[in-house]
Amino acid sequence: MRSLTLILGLLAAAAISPATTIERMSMDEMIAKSTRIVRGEAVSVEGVRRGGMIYTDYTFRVQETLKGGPPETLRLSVPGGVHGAARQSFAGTPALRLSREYVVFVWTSRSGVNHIIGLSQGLFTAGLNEAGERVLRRGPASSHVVDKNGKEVADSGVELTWGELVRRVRGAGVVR
Amino acid sequence: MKRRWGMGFALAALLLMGWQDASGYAHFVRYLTKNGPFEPVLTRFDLRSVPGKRIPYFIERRGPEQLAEGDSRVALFSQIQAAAEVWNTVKTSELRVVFGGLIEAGARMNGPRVEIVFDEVPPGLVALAGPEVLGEVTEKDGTVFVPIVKSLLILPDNMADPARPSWSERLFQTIVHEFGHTLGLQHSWASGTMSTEITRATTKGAPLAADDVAGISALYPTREFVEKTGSIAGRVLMGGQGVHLASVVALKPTGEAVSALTAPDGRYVIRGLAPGSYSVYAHPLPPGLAGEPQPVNLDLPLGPDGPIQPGGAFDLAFFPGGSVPEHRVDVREGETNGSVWFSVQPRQQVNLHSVQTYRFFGQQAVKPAFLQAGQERGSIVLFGFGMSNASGPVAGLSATLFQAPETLLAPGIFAYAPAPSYLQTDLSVPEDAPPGLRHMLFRLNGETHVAPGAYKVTQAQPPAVEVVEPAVNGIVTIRGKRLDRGARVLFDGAAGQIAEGSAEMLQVRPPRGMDGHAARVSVFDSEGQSSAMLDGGTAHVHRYENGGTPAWRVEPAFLPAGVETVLELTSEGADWTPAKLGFGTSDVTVSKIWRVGAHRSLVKVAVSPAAEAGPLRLALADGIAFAEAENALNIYPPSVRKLYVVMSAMADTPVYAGGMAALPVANLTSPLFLATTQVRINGVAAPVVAVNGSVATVQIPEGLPAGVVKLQMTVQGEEVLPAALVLSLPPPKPPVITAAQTLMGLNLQAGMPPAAGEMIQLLVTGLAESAATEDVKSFSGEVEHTVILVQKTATGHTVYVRLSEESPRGAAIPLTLRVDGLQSLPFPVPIR
Ligand SMILES: [Zn+2]
Repeated sequence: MRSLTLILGLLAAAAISPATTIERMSMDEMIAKSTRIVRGEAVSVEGVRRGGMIYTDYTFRVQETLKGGPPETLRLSVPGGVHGAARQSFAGTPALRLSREYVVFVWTSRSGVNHIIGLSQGLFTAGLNEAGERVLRRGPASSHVVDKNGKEVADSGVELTWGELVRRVRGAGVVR
Repeated sequence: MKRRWGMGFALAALLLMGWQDASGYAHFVRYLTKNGPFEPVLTRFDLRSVPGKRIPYFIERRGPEQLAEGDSRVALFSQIQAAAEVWNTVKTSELRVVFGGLIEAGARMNGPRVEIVFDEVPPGLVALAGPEVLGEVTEKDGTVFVPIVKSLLILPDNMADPARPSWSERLFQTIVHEFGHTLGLQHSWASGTMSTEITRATTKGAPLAADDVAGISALYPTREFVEKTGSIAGRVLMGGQGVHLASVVALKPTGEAVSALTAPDGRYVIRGLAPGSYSVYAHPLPPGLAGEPQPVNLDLPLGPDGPIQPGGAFDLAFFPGGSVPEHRVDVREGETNGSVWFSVQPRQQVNLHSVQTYRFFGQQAVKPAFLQAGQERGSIVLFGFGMSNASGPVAGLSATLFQAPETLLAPGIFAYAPAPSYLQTDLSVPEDAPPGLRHMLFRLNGETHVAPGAYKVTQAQPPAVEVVEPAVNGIVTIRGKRLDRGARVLFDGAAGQIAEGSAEMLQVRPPRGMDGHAARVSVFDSEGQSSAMLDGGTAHVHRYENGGTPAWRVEPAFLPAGVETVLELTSEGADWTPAKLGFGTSDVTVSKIWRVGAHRSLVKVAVSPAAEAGPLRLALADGIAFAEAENALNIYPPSVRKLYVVMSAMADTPVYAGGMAALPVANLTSPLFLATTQVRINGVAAPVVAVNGSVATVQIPEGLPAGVVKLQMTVQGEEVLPAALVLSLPPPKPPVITAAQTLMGLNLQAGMPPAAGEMIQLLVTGLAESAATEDVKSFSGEVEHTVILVQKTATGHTVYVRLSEESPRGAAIPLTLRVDGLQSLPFPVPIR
């Protein structure tokens, strides 16, 4: 008999969307590995060149911080964009709309660049559900996401309430 | 001619020129108009701007900071090279990528290229790739496109993931896929390498599918692509309106799928189809998954007002309609079948999509599901979005095979017992099932999904390696099973040379490796399977024990920008010559390496006028061996004037020993003079027979063998940079008649003229040893004389000819011999 762990592990590892080839992360993994988790909106956008690469940098005004500390605005970098006449395309990088509410799992590199964790995996739109609770939404993904150890991740999908996220972040032992 | 235009001007020209390049494969697309007809402007490399249509790729020298256990930078670099060069196997694409050397982060260079760099990337990101353009629409040789300035392929600094070591199928396929992005390809939904890994049916052993070949060929077509493949074209309409970004797929029941995406007006062209008949279906793109971009996993086409969103979801439709593949569409070579239109029905959203299929070999899961001909019950494990819940398949889900010779066994599709949210189907494969990919259809609540390449039928299981023995006299013995099925043996990313083989044993000469290096060994068959599918690829190692690495010397070691020359590369201390080398900049192009001895190579290079002054590091590769030489070549600013032979401007006509070659010389301050121009070829003085401005014509000394020769030149005492010529075999010469005689051997001119109708003998030189009587003809003007016999002699040939009765009497006729289209000079033969 083949083990459950084996196939789940395999499917997890195989659930890759290249272009950007990503490895799917569980919510707990994203919570643990992110430097900051913030809610807020992008207020301005510009293309910048760092080294050989063009990034789209968003100035993100933070309304609420769930993990990590200040500042209240941060510069969020997404690979690819337009700088002067040059355009760098990476098939598969997300774009933020200005003045729209997002929850972002931020990962800061050693050189101090703020990325969205897992490319767009750590980017959620924020809104209210029918019960009036604040919810995070990410793509139309199904619940078929498993983590590296082969466990199904129930909360990786469509909707998650802010309260649930707060509970999980605290559960992860992160001090606000 | 090359022009850069403003958008409006480009558009006007587009409309005037018409379009030959309208391809619908998923490329990086721009549309210059807001309204139809929409003509895609594709992003691609300008191959006309680079010598030899070769795009160099560079690898960041330091490599990743962290690697998986047992992995090494050298092993990774060999896999990167192998993955890059997968794209060179496409015969219908003109593009060739070549190793350009190693670079430091932020290296400055000018020419178009691909850079593979290692960077700190956020967790959850495995690789990232894409082109950079300068926003300019360019017209060249009648096509309009957006030229790629450089492409980046970013791999993480941390490559320690044990699931993705350098020798894994997974990393290799990821790099092949990412390389596809750097060359101008986006995602497609036909199970090629450019699909996402979820639906991909390619393997390391068969890394490209027909869809990938069509996609790259549509960007860089050869004449053969245009003439020998056909197209299917048409439109996808919903309520009379074109559907943007519908995917249209052509496939055969036992073959690979080829696809195209529709333009904003619903038009599409599927190019690159082998002649034959195809089922064709249109389907909506699945929604982007978590972590993928929204709304679909594409960099959306850019219109004048920004990204153009995809059209709405619809029910999958086979041509000419319905959800069942009943009709076929014929494709002829060089022709477009343009009548394949779809009228599709809207649906709320796409629920069924992204099916991934597996089978197990022991404990190893393999994708796609490989089944063997004759297998009475082969199991496929799968997961498809929208198809299952925690306890098994969603009620009403059905799976069917796409006109396959296999049989889907009862109960059809059911829960995979160890993990019921995953599904299983069992198939019976007939003994005579043709090898190749198969497709499956899934249906639920009126929605149909096709999974192209859901499984693959092979003749046998993958090769199995049991032991790799240490090398004896440079030969490695591999023991196992099924080792003879079109075997290819990879040591990390480079193939060994099979000396002898049977099903149980292979004797292989490994590719060159570095002393002490442990290379992972896998055996591949001709069906895309490998021993790594059974053992994970980690198990078998060959350890190299072969002395040190040589020191390298490059001559000349100083070059100004803007010249062409031939470098002489010598190795000291070990006898290896590189198969590939590069100076780590796209401004020094290596167009050819000739191995001319155990320690010596000639390297043809061109230095761009824009090359930056400074020292360059040489990187050399052969097999999985890698070497570097610091400061191997120094570039001066172009103000340092050096004479050079413009090899790139030399006529394409063959040159050969005994023939002539015209040598254009650049950077002269005055015209050439015969007296002050000297040439030596391979050290032998070659007479300069003429000069004309900047061009010297030399006679190539007799006796030089065919192949590359080194050319050295001085002009007014100043040395010209060395150059190379490739000598062909001398062309055949016509035969020469040296004497015409009576059969007694008396010369006819000496008062013994023959009569018309008499036989004479001709003494001839320059006929091929093997010249046969029937190959040799004799004429004088229009009159043909009969060749009776051609006979070999000590000094040439004797040709016996019966003079025609129509030979004019009382005069000398100009007698010639013809053989293989070559005619001798006339020899006067007096007639009585
Ligand atoms: Zn991709």
